[in-house]
Amino acid sequence: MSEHDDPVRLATGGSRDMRELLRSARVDEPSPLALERLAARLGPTLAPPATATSGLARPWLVIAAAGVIGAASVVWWAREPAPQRPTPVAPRPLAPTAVAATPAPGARSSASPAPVTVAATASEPRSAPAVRRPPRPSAAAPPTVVAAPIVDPPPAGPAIVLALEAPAAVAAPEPRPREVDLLDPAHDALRSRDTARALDLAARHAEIYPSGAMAEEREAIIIEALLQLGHREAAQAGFDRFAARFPRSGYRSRLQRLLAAGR
Amino acid sequence: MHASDDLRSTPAAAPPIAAPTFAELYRSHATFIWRVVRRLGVRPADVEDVCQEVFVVVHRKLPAFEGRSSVRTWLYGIAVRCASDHRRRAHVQRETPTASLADRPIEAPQPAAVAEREARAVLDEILDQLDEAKRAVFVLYELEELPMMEVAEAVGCPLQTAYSRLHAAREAVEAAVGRRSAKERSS
Repeated sequence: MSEHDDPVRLATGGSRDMRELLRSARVDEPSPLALERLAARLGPTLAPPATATSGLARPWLVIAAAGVIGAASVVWWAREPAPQRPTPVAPRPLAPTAVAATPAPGARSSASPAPVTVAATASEPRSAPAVRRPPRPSAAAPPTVVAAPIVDPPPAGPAIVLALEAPAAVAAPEPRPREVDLLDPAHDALRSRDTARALDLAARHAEIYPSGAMAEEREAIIIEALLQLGHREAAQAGFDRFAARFPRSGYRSRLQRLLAAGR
Repeated sequence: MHASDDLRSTPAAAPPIAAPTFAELYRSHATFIWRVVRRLGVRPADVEDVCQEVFVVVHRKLPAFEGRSSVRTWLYGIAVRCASDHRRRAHVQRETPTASLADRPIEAPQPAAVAEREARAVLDEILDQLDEAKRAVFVLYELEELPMMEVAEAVGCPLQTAYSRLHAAREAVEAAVGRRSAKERSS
């Protein structure tokens, strides 16, 4: 059916009163000041694009995120709590998905994927979720426990356990980064196949914003990271929950393609 | 407000990229998004928050935008969903509205401006009586003048469903306008 088959609009064919009402709504616009305020709130995302040099889909985000994330991430990494010192956090019901992967420390891609467990579905109440970060890419430090006690540690080797709906964040002394400041660098890390960093940032996001506006993005990043690490089954399981939770997501087709390609 | 024109006229040094940048999308569509969000029932005090949310979603989804629908349809779809989410949340977390500062210097209201404001208030009151699905179709078709095909895409329903929602919404709105006109005449 074409546009020409659409019914005559009320602004043309309606009563005089109706036309008046519709016209009043059409001229309703935000003031320039309101638009300025909104632009200011969107901040660096409105920065002009930088020169594309690396084939990244959003090269300008590197610049936009660099200042904020660089400082926040470095400070955060530098202040990680002592290893194996779980921080008690009151358990709360979690919605979908915790996935576990085991990349080699600092690995960009894993040739031999370690066992992966996929924990809990949305319908399974969990009382003591675990969120563990991967080792820092540049250091062979042991995995560090943050945010919640570990109840069922994996049998061996460093592990990443990402709670997609994690408990509330532990009190952080530094100002908490914005969602976009965590996930844009995670996205970029994924593109440069720095999977450990991508998962690390996604885990951090899950701690701070368990049900944030960008939870969908976070989960897509995690699924793609799992694929990069060779954990196809975990990625598939993650995708199934993702598809159920975000049935109209724009990421679905891309993730489906990646899963089909078995990457 | 003609970022897409700017985009088309940029020198052809870079390979052709169909998708506009985020900044261009903001420049060219912020006003429309604001208006749609407002007419979809978001309170004036919350419109900025919801618009911000819309553009945050746009920002993160832009890399995955595959151009299957027009940018405009895609944006309206996001705006409709954000407004809908906000209205649901607003049901459970009602805040006490506080007086906001005027955006512009306060001038003596002009009669025409007063009439327009009153008319908008009347329209909003009528739209408030529609359910969310019908309201979205009505706003996108009658106010934003999207073709029905795009309306259906934006709200995520089959075309025929969109038509039936429009039909029902029109009946309700026309009846409300008629009642109001009759009341004004009789008073």
